[in-house]
Parts: sequence; C-alpha cells; structure tokens
Amino acid sequence: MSGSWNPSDFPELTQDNHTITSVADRHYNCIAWAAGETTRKWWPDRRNIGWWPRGVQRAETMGAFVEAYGTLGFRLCFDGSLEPGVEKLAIFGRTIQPDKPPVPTHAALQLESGQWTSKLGDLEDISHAPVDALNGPIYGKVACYLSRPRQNAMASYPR
Amino acid sequence: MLSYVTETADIAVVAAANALVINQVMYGWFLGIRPDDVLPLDHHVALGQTLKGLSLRKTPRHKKHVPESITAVAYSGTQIEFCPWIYDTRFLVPYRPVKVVPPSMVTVIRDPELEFGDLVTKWQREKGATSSITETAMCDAYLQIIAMGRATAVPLILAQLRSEGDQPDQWFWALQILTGVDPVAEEDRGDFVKMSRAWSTWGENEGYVW
Repeated sequence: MSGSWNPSDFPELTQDNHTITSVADRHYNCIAWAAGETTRKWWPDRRNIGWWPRGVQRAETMGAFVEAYGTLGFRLCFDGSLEPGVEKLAIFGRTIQPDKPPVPTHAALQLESGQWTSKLGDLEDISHAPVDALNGPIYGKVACYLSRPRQNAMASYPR
Repeated sequence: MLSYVTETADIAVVAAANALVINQVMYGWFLGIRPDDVLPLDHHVALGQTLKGLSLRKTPRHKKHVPESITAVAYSGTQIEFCPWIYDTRFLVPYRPVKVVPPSMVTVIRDPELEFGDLVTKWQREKGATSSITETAMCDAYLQIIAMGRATAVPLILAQLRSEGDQPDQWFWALQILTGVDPVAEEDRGDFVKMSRAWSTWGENEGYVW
C-alpha cells in the first residue's frame, strides 16, 4: 500500500523502511500524535488555532517544543538509540535561514520495538525505521531527541 | 458551403474561468464570433492547466455562422490553439488551428466557486504532509483564497467547512483574517471539529447563507 504523500517530499522513505498504520485523518497532527493525542492539533501558531500547553511559550522554536513536551515528562537526551524502559521522541527541524536555528517541523515517537511512529501532517500515520527515513525538504532532519521513562499507555502505539 | 479558417489561436487564460468574453474580434468573423460574444466552455479552465480536447459551445444566435464546435488542441503558457471543425453540408472535418483574438482582447469571466474549488485542490497539494498550521496558511493557494475578499470567500469557506463534515480542514486562519473575529472558545483550540461548529454558528448568526 502506498501513502497519499508526495514521494519527493520524503526521498529516503522506501517500501522497505515504513508501514502505513492508519488512514489519513485531520483531527490531529504529528506533534499531538507524539504526545499521545488524537483529537486536536498541537501547534504554537500566532493565531491561536492549534492547541498548546498552558504556560509554555507560544513560539515556533525548538525551545518552545522541548518545553511543550517537557510538560509530559520528556527531557533532552543524546540520541535515538533504543533503551529498555525509556521512551524517546525526535523533533525534526528545517533550516530556513543559514544563520538561524532550525524551525520545528515534525515529531516522531519511538515504539518499544525500536520502530518510530509518525503522523504525516493531515495524512496517514506510519511506523518507520530509521527515524531519519523522513529526512527531506518538508521536515528537514532530526534536530534533537527527548526521553522519559516508558509508560504503559504509550506501549499501545501504533493504533 | 465550406468555411475556411486559417490562422492560429491566441487566447490568454489568466484565471479559473468558465467562459471567455470576446471584446474585440480580429479574425473572429471567420467563426461568426462578434464583439461581446460569450463563449461558454464545456470545462472550466484552470490557470496552468493543460487542455486537450476542450470545446467551446457557440451561442445560439450565431448558429448559422459558427462551426459546430471549436476544439482546443494545444495549450502552452498563456496561449491556447484552437482547431475548428469546418462545417460542410455533408460532414465535419478538423482543420488546422485558427487565430481567434490576441490575449489583450479577451476578458476572462471568473466564477468564484470554480476558482475557489481550484484553489482548494491546489492548496491540498501544496500543503502535502506539512504539520505546521502556519505553513499551511502561507501556501500560495491559501493566500489567494484570502485575497478573494470577505464577501466572496467567507460563504465559500463556510460551505467548504460544512462539506468536510467531521474532517474539517484548517480554514480558521483565513476566517480570522477575513472577518476580524474569532468565535472559538479557548478550550476548543486545536479541536477542528469544535472550531468548525463555532464558525458555522457564527456564520448563521451573521446571516451568511451558504
């Protein structure tokens, strides 16, 4: 089965490194999905359209995204290697201006199997490995990793 | 009687349209087209679309003079070549492309609904797998929808939201800009179904019909 995304958006995504795990759905986006939510979109846009954790700066910066996931217990870590009992999350970013830090674009959550689960915008959910199979012109590449002790509720991914 | 039309066509398509108005005719007399004639298209024309087999329907009052159909055989950039069907009392035969009018002499009638539909399709393609609400609102097609203005765009967006049912898209940025209000409750941010309902209620209260 092939997804509804434009293949040129994800040049490193191949038949062998991903599986589609849901149909397209506009109720949530990747940031919400990585946070365990499927009924609303997370995004710190300036028009207050997306939901954003209360008390976290509403800015499209890596700092704000790390802070947002911090409300769920995630903290910065060194890499995306699989560690027993640890749940990891990768935040992707794309460089818009060469002298500026990357702008957050996407988040992927690591499953207990070592695979990663991602929601592609309004399109499908996929599981993929490696995490940087989603590198490309839309999401850029992984900018940082976060981790927290694995919780049972998250073990059910993908749906 | 055999009609001969021997020039190449040259019509600018500057936006989605479902009709072309001929303002001034140079070679149109070959086709029986006169100034201010309206030529409805069988298919609407989208900017940048490649057209093959497009036909123009003639207006009834010119039935006597206009060939049975005019078929666009090629489209490149802003020009369309038309190949007329030469009417013979016995049979129709395709003839070489004809020139109708230069682009400056054509006015495109814009149909807001068709234009909106084209822009929605273009926007869906543009935003692709983007998750950023800001980036989806910065797509060219989305900005063009906003540029249609409040009176035109708001009813079309409300109708679009209704047609999307329980999978509403991100129309809230445009609605905020066009109307200057935001009827969504703070606790409903990000929940597009609830946000869509809030905007529908607002539209009804404001007297919008869609």
